[in-house]
Amino acid sequence: MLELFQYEFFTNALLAAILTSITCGIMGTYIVAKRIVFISGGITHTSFGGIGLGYFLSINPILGAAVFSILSALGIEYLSKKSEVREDSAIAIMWAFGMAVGIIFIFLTPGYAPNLISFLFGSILTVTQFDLIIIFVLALLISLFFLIFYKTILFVAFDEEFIRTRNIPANLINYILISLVALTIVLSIKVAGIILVISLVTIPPATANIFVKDFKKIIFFSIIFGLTGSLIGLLLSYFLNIPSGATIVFIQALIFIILRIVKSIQNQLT
Amino acid sequence: MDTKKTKLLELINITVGYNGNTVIKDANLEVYNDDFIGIIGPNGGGKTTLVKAIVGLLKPKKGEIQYHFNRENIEHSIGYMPQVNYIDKKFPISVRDVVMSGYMDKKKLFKRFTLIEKQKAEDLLAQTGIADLKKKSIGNLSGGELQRVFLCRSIISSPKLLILDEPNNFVDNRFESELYELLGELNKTMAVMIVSHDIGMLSTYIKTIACVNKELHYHKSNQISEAQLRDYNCPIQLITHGDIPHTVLKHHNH
Repeated sequence: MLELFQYEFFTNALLAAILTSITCGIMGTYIVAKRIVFISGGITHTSFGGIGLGYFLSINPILGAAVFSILSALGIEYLSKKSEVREDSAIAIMWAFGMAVGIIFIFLTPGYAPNLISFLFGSILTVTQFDLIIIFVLALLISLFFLIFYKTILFVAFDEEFIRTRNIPANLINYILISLVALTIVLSIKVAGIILVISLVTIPPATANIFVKDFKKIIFFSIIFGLTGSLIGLLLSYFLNIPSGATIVFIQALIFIILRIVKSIQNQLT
Repeated sequence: MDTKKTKLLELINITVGYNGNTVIKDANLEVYNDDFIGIIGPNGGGKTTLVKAIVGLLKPKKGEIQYHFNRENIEHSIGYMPQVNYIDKKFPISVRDVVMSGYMDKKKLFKRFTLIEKQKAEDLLAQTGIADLKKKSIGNLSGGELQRVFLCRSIISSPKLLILDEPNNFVDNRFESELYELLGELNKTMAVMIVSHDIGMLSTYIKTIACVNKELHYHKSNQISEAQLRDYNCPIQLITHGDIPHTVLKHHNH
């Protein structure tokens, strides 16, 4: 098994899994606590439009996805404050529109049809050094932001109205956080793909939430559960020769189900 | 009252509403440091809207609100206890953190809470009888316990004015009477404004009454008759507890 680490593609995949567990653990806790899973799903799928446009203009597709996802994230955050907009319908429209744009542009791209499957289902074994650097910078950015502004983030997420009475720039905090959500999702697409990436930000916090009910502790255990799931999934996919993104998600879900059952039994016994 | 009255804030002809709708029209009110004002009125009459305007969540469309607090600590001068039913009870936050958030202001963005501030939170929790809950997540609390936590949050910064929006919703009668007693105590050091659908129980503490139904009529007494309520265009429902008929407020005995 140790000889695996001689392969650069494998160490890269491993590092990507670790860094992604950190970004998804922190932002996932925020997403789950604030109940914006559906919004995050919308942002994810809208970003596909950016991937298609990236191919068409022959720029880095992830860059296109980042632009699309941040714009959609800011748009949703803005709309959510307007009471006359039906937010869930707006998200669904963006969701579908992004996918449509992506499919059209990929179809229009002349010559070799890019590997759609890798964006839809992920391809962690093709993570490049450049990808790693970007994910590392994002992980650093998110960790610092949460370290410095932890209590503000917590209080705004919990009771925005009360915090507004204290002249805290709650809007700014929300816009920054939703942008970080968008970037986290886009940079995790390589790991699990557009279709499965939502699970990386929801399953670990949900698993942690079975045992702990404090925001800070959920972050910590999300990272642990995310890490465990990704490492086991990655190794398993290598030895069984099955898709790694799907295997990681499968293992994470399995951990969730097992621990949920354990907790239920525990509750019955006490 | 031998201490000198000081004016805390003043509503000058304010009109407040959401989008196109006007909820409160041309309201005037002066609040002094030792006031205990009961805000009554029918549902949809604008009680919560009035509160939101005072705490700064809604900008008046017309008129202005003048605050006469010490500019130093302006954010902490108003203690606000919103209705708790909009809170997500499954949100992963501990009782202590909720109470500490009452200290939050711009200066605290980059600063940690001090030991003294943390101690104050513990003291308040002990004072309201929920010290043993401090590490619990809010999801484990009963309605009455949650109300106490929110009360602690609203008074931890020692405000000059405490505003409570329907604190007697979703709580048991025992907590209700405890709360009123506590408010009476707090009123010695701060002004209190309380929105309530049932201020019969409160009438011993309330000094004045604001009737809110699109317009605001300020009644400078704690006794009000049904006829006066009609004059103020402020129909409020009578609430009965069990078999005992329960008038909203005392009748005038002319």
